[in-house]
Amino acid sequence: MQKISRPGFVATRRQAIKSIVGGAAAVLAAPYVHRAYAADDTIRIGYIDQFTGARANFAERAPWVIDQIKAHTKDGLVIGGKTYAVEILSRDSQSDPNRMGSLGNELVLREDVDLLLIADGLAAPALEICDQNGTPGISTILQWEPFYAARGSSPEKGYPWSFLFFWSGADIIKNYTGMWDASGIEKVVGTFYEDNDFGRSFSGGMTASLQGAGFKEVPGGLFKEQVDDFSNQVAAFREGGAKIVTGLVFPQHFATFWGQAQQAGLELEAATIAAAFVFPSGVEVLGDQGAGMSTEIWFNRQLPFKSSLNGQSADEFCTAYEQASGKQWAQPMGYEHAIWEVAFAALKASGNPKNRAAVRDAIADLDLDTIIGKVDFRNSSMKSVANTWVTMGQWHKNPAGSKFPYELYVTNNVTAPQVPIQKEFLPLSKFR
Amino acid sequence: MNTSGPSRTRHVAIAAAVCFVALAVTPMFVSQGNLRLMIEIFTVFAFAQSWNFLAGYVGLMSFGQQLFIGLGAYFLFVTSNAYGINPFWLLPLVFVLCGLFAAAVAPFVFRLRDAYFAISIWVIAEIVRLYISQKDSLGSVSGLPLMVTRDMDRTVVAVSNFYVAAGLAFLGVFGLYWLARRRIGLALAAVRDNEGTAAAVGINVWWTRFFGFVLAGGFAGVAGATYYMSVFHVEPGGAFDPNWMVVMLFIVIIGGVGTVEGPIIGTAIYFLLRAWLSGTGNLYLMLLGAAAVVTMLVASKGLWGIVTKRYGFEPFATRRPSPNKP
Repeated sequence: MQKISRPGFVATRRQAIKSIVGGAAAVLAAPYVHRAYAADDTIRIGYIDQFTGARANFAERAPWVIDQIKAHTKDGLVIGGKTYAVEILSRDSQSDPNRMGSLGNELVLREDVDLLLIADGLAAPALEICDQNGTPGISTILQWEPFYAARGSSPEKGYPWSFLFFWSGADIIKNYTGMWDASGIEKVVGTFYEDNDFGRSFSGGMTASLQGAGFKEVPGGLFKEQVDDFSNQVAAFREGGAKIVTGLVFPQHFATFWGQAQQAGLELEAATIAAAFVFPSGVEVLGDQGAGMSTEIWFNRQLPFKSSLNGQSADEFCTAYEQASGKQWAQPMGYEHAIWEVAFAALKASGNPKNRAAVRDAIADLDLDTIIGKVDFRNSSMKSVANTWVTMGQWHKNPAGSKFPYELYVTNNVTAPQVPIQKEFLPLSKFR
Repeated sequence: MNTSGPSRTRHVAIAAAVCFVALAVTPMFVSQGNLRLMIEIFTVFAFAQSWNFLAGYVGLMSFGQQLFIGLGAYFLFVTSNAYGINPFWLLPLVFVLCGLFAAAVAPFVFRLRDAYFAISIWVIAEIVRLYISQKDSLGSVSGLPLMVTRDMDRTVVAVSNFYVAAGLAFLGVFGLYWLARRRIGLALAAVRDNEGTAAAVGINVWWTRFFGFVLAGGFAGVAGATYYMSVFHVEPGGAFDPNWMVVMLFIVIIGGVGTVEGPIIGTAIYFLLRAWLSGTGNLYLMLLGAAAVVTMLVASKGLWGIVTKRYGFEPFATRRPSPNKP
């Protein structure tokens, strides 16, 4: 066969295909090519949140918060007389613990971040990577009991590099019973829970606490996610004479339960539910019957706190979000902002943000007033954890013509006397 | 352009030697962060290859291979934490324990066929997950950390972990090839293709299948232990996540079931798609699904099937040329 040689840059078909395939492979593989370490005057901060997946509603407002932070740091941070650029690497955990571990390795080891922030309840795998690699990590929106339990630590031992600021699961139940106690409602409580890990643990704590506080429990038990009939629970609560219902219930389930309770003539004085009423959407599905629903509260717009970053009050912060997005504020956004306050305060206090041990020590020594209130690692009786407040709130109807139908107010402050009460707790009969 | 039998094995042996050397020297040139990524890629490839072996070589369609991933991880974490043993020495034990577990459930699940078999393993995986979720001594829902590595040198941990993962990937390619060419490989193929005929020529169908099931379980267990060792933390929701099964199916189906090469391509595509699409939010999973559907419609034997058909290129072919053919 005669060999045909072609001059110049005219490639043969095979050569062309080869170079196209090679080029495509190089372009496709680009995200995996290790990037050169950033210069010494850039602070790299990793941020992991559950933007998609089963718990995405917690992070729905986080992208707006991050944009706000990026705008705030566009001219860099001045620390110890030196200006540092700030690079934020935001990642989606997809509500998946495996993805969390893989992102921990990506951000801590491949991207070599100076500080890792996690606003996700499944933070444990990424925090363990921080601890085993000596990178400071701050987490939130995770109760501190599982923060210790997940990795075999305790308030006495703590962790070398990972930190948490959030409230305690045990405090919620104290607040529930404390609020009912103060309301004067007859002490008969109907309980029902989603059959999942959170429902099970909430149910265990609640039953023990109800007995201790002199309440009569009418147990409605655990139910499966696929259930769409609650007539058994309604009947049990009516027979048992329940005046209060509580439990861990998702919004669509509570809406079904509530409809059946109304039809059966179950007259309740309080509906205090974890999960369903954290977000405004959970109350809105009840139509015009959402007023009077109560739940735990850990951030709202009436709080007297303000951001240490931009001086915005809680109300200004929520209003800014509502104007930018057209959607109502929700509780997690306060913590999603506060985690940046904690991060920047620690970086500044460290004197040298590129020195990991200095940053770690600065976090441990932090006592900061943030948009969600005080975050105090320095005087905390627990190692690696700053306990924050949680208390009780009730949804009220907004006046006609308001942009959003309901608003959440603080009604009790059983374990958090520093949080002012915003409205008196009212039994449901006052809303009918 | 199919090369003849003996020459092909020689080529594979040369390829094995080259890969071995390349993997051995990799940690000298690669940063720790990239080593971790390679550990993840190699172990996920090993997961996929264990399922590929089960489905494509043994003929057992399982929807519960995540059972062994989780079991392997838990065997390793619990034993290492309890006795303070260097986890790397425990890997052979993990293989034995996961194999024993597979052997213990085999008599029950083998009574079920096809879809019932597939679902039964999934059910066992869920039972184990729920059991661990409620057991405080096993960390319940919050999971367990790997304590021993906290006091070990980071580089040593990363490099050892890399070698284990590389070893698994190596076995997943060359070990599978070697096995498929042994007598037992022929027996497995015979049982997979037609059990009646296999039994008629004197193959013990039950024990052949049992061997395949135990081997795949032990291998997936070691791979699972290696994977979770590299993130230092395991919890039941992640380790027994049915999503692992989806990942294995995606990789094997995209690449080509029943081939050595298919899952290599499938793994590469999976990680490239993840790198490119994971920023797209919920769209990511839809795009992954769409890629799998399109591949199944266009190439029922996976992408590697196209290569084989179009170019006749089959470096790891385990079929032997018929002696009667010219």
